Amino acid sequence: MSRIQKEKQPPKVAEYLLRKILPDNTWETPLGDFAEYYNMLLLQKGRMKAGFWYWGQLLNLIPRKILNSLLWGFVMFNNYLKIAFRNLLKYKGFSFINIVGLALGMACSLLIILYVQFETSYDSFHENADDIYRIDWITDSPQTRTPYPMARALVRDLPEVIDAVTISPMWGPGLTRPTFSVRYEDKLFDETGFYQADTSFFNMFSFKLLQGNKQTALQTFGGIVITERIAHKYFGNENPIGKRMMLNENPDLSLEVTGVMENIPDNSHFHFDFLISYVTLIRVSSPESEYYTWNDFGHYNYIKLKPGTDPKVVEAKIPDWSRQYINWSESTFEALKKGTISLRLKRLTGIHLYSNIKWELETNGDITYVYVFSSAAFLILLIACVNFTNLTIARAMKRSREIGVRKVIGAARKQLFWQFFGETFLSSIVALVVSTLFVIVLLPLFSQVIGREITPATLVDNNFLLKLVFIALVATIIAGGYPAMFLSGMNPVTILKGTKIEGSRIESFSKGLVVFQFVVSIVLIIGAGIVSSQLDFLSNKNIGFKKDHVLVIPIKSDEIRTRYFEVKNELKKHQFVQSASAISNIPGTNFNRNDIQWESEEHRLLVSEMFADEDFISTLGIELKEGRTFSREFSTDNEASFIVNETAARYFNWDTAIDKEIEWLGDMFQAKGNIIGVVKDFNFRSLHSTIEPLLIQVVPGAFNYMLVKINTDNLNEAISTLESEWLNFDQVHEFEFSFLDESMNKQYQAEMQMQTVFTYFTMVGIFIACMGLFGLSALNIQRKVKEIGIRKAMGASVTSVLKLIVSEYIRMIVVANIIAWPIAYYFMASWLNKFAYRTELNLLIFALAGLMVLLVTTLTVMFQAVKAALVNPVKCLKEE
Amino acid sequence: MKLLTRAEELILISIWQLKEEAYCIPIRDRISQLSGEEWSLGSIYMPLDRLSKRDLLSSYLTESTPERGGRHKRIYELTEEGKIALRKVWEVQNEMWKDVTGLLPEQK
Repeated sequence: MSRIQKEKQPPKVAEYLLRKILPDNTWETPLGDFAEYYNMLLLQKGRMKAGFWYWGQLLNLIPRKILNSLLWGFVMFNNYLKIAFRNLLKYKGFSFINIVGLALGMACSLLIILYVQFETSYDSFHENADDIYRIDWITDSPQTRTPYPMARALVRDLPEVIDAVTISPMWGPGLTRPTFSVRYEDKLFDETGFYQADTSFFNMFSFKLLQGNKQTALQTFGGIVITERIAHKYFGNENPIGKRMMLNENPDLSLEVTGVMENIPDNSHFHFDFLISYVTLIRVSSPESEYYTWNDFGHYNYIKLKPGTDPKVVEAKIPDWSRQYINWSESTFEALKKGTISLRLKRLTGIHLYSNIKWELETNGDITYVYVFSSAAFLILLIACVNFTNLTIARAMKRSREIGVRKVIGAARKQLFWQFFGETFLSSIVALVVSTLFVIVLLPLFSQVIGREITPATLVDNNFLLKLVFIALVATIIAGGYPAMFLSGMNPVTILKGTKIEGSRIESFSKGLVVFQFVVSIVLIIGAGIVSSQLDFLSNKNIGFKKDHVLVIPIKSDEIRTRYFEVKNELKKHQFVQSASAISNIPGTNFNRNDIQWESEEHRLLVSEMFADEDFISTLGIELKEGRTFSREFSTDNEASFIVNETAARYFNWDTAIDKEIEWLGDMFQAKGNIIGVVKDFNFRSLHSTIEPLLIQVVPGAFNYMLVKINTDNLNEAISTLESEWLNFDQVHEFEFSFLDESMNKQYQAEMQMQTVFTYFTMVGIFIACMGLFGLSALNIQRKVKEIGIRKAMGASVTSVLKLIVSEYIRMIVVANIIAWPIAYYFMASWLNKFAYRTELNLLIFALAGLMVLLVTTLTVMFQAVKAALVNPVKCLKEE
Repeated sequence: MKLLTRAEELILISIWQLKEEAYCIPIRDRISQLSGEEWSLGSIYMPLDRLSKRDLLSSYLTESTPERGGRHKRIYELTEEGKIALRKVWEVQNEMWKDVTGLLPEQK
């Protein structure tokens, strides 16, 4: 096209728009006319005027176009909405089933989303959280702790490492968390949340320092940083900076508050209230102590890498690098090079869900449970969606006339599809409102189950609304997709002729969905059953000692530690005290480990250590296999005699371990002495793991707890007696106590959570499925009313009619069981593998689950079936 | 049959007179000339569509021309019904004006 001709073209954009606005198929001639007229104007009045005219024509058209489509869109929408509401109200029963089912499913999903979001948000509030790593020491018994100088040396030596910090809880004897009494003026409380941190703490982690100087708060000797909570507790509205807090009533331990930091968010993998700098602690530690040297793998080291650095690169450099600081034995170094043992970098944000090794700062979560909970919630939502789908399809007959008429009048399939889809969405929205109510009602219960406070206020942030709409959309797509497709695809001719529409395709589809619901229900029931049978197993398993009627009283003062024997004797004067014993660690918690050595340097064994007095074995009812227990008659028993467990004894190549000399290479001190006794194995750690070698010795300085075995009907009186006795010896600290069996149960908290969640979800799931089945069977029976009538007229008995109806469902349940059992078996077997001690997968549970579903289903269907079977055939046959 | 409106009448007459050239633009020009008012293109389309639907008009497409941006013309023709309808209005008009005196300028 020549240049001149090109100029004769009307404005491109306007022409394009015009073409879009004009109805399909008819745009060509008018566009030609417009172009011709434009050219004429162009010649007569010039380009400006012509262009102006063309755009004017277009603008003239647009409002009319918009009004038109708005008007008709509104009219149709109004109609759809009206029909949708009429249908909701006309079939109240079904609407109720659909909406309540969906609402329950949505409520479960919402709660679980909240939970999952919380679990996955751990530590992500730190800036550069993705570039921060903890150094883990991965051996055959992996642990989180590494030597203190490592963090700084890494920053100094490796260019990839740009920052580092070392932290650690303050440890009491036997590596337990100590209690300090803290005084400010007349305010005196017992506190346990003490951590130490290196000076770079606030650079590395994004905790806000509310008062005090970020740079110097941890540089000051004798300084202490406290959290807002503590500041409020001790200082009220006073300014805490510069004030002195005294620990354990000891004037030497008077620390100056140098900073107040925000409370540590719930979703941090460690929490503390008091932070003391390494600057202070290194200076006051004894010169011989190796705690702050390369020799002690006793600190938590975190490093920050240059953004985007692959941690593998740094990990690979570590073995060679570490050689200049740590004197590895040749074999250890080889293992390091080979990677069988390693210093591995654990991403900060992955610690909570993916790390469960020794000396985690707090009990971490477990990604497995995140998956288990999310899938359970999703399955429940699916069950509810299936109800919706099935009931909508089953009711299709009732709607078919409407569809037929709409199609004949000229509705396109697309329009019908969106109409039905929209109806589903409407139900979802109603369900959503209901589910929000459910969530608000269930929140306290849920908070309790997951052990974390979630208030309606937390719901409001976090884009709650967005999540709601998201769930509604997912539910709509799953529940409404197939019916919308199916309904909009019906052939108007067949519908209006009155021929039956349901083909075998639809029927088997709907049956398949019901089977799916059964499968989910059965799997959930089996899961709940196996979790609780495993928990039963755990609490009833013979763990080698008696944990009932044992009080645990934390020893907080050195006074009681050194005079433990006196204290014990005072307690034992009371009749209800059967025996008492001081120990370092409560069974079921973490134990420190060190090497023992016998005969020569080649014979070494890593053993867990427990410090306990002479009554320990009798108080817990542990069986002595060989030798004797500690006794005050032997002066050597104090710190120089050992009792080992069977597992440890098996490592010695002796016929009997009694009276053999071993050396214990502890981190605080070393001791040489004879083995005086061997105890039968008992589970001093949780049943997730097998029994490891254990060494018991008497070290009074390390006693942290007093175990008191009591036998009384009047527990309250006994405890208050114990308290007053106790306070005679310790006037500084508060008296606390717990029960051994209860604190041991805490080891299985995650499992108990899972049990609770499983139980509730199972109930909800079955409830929703039953509601759906109730509605579906009613519809199916309605369709069979004539058949039943004829059968009865021909002489069929009530029972044979019942059999006819119910047998169909029983067949489905059988199929569901066949599918569900292997699935449940697979998942539960892999869950049980988490435990070193586990119950057998009891097939009875599988059978019971199947039976239970069978029973519930039969009852549900029976309710409708009996009604149908008893009906007088005259009534159902006279119509037509 | 419903009587034609004046606009329809004008359009039909123009089409009859324009013969082969009876498409939107010339029709508009002619009517504008006759009536002395500017008619927009849009105000021609509507009656054209309506008349086609009532089968008073038929139409066909012709070759495209460059000044139309390479697009076809739609040429309209009167159908038999169209002619009858025109005749009808003419008759009604004649009938109406026959006895009217003193209103029109003197006829020579």
